[in-house]
Amino acid sequence: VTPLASAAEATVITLACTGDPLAFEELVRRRQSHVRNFMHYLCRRTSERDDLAQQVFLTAWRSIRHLRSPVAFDSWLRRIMVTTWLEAVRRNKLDFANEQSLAENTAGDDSTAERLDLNSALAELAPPMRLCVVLAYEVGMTHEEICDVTDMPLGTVKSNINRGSQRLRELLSAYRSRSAANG
Amino acid sequence: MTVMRNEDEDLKALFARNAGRFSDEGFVTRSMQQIRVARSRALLARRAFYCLAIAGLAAVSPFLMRGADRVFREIESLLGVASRALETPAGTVFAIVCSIVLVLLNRRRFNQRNW
Repeated sequence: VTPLASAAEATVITLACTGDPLAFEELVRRRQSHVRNFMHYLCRRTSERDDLAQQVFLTAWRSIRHLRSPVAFDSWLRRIMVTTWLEAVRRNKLDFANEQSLAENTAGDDSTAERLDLNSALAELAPPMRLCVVLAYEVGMTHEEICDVTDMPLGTVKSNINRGSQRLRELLSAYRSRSAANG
Repeated sequence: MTVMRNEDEDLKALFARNAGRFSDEGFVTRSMQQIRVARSRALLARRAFYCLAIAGLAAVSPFLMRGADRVFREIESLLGVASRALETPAGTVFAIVCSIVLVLLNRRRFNQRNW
């Protein structure tokens, strides 16, 4: 247990903003699950997920001194998460065409059947659609917040979420029917 | 404003139910290690830059001193020529005319800005 484990969120963020490495480590500990979950749905491969999550925290460390208010920390971190993932997509670091099989993707995770279904259904969506769906349903952002963080027009965001969620439901229902038929 | 429908709430609940539980220690240690490496690299790069800047300045300082000396001498001779020219009646008249023109131009610019 670190000395800051029980400290208030605002205190930890303020200390991290001053360049305190222990406070930043505590922030990494508190936010790692959120960032890795986000990357998990978008990256598929465990190694890519953790590499990008680490990249997010490295970028955050480099620019945390410029953060104006501790209240803005989460939206600022979300922006870094999205930018890091988009940069990886642009640099073709993420190989969507050759995504690994479901069994390989989730190896080592405590996956349930539902989680496996959700992962494979998400893998079927195009990257921008997947990003919008994950931001809307996993992170819980509004359409306007997604526009702001992704720089996509509002119409595109709405259409990506509507079409993406519809496709997700269709795929999940197909998986359920198939597993019911199998046994 | 985003309006959530029941089916959206279902999807949100599905994501919430399936949120991964990742063990933090290995990840936190690796992330902090990466940050420490990046910090020490940045520190090293900054120190190397300062050292290079100081060495560069030391290397060019004789040329800088020679250049500054030459500029100073040129300015001194130009000022000598100008002061000798101003001491003549034509030079004095020219200086007065220039001063009046400058005052008028400044006043005009000031009036234009205020209007």
